[in-house]
Amino acid sequence: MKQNSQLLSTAEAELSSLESSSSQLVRLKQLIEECGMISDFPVLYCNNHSAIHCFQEPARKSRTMHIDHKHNYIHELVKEKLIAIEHVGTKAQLADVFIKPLMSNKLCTLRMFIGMFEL
Amino acid sequence: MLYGSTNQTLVQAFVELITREFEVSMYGVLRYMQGIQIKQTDEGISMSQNIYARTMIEKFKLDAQEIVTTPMKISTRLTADERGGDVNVSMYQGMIESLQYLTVSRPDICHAVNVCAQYQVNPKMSHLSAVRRILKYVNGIPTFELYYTKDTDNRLKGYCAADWA
Repeated sequence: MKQNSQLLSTAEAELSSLESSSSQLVRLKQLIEECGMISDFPVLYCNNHSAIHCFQEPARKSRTMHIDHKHNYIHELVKEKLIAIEHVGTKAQLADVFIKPLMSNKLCTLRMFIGMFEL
Repeated sequence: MLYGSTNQTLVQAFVELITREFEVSMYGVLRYMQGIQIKQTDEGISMSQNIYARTMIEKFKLDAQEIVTTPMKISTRLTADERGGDVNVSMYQGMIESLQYLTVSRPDICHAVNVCAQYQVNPKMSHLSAVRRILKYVNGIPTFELYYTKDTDNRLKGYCAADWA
């Protein structure tokens, strides 16, 4: 995916990726339901604490004023319980396989987690 | 033509309908399609491209000893590298094309292939060596399968991370 705006902090970058992945998750959930299957509300895992804190009521607003209002979209999803955002440690962050080169031992564990097995 | 359903009676009805309308022969359960081998068991479905990966390695003439354990070095930072030596563009694009099809069952090489594919228009030696490294990685373990188990719960899980900042 392409970066489409300048971002000031890692938290803001994570927010931006949370925004795009949450909209994809919502679409996927709709697709599953269209196929006639029932699915619980999706969980989105993120490994950045400060990004997650932005969704907890009191901390919000004051220090994140400079961040674009498009992130209100996720806030709304969380509030209406259409999506849940949870923290995940870097060791179990499965998205890492797709975004950066890894050390071989980490690659081995992560590719097993995403369902790849050696024959 | 492929068809599938979670409901066996629907499948039967569809088969009856289509055989009445057209002249078709049934091959039964899906095992092989477009270079992808598919195994369906009671526990789950597995997908692999072992034969495809082997023929690809033969096509690009890699020795059995040329093996690495990761598709990309951590220190690798590819740039446009305008001063680097030119390489055969169609060969480079052919390699990328073959590798991109392999990502169907090998998500572990997705990122490396994506990065290399960005330099397809004007590839240089540094890019070619990165692509060769991916091929060597595939050469190391060409037999991988992507396994979908049946006992998973029906909750969607997303993982999100960014390397933009």
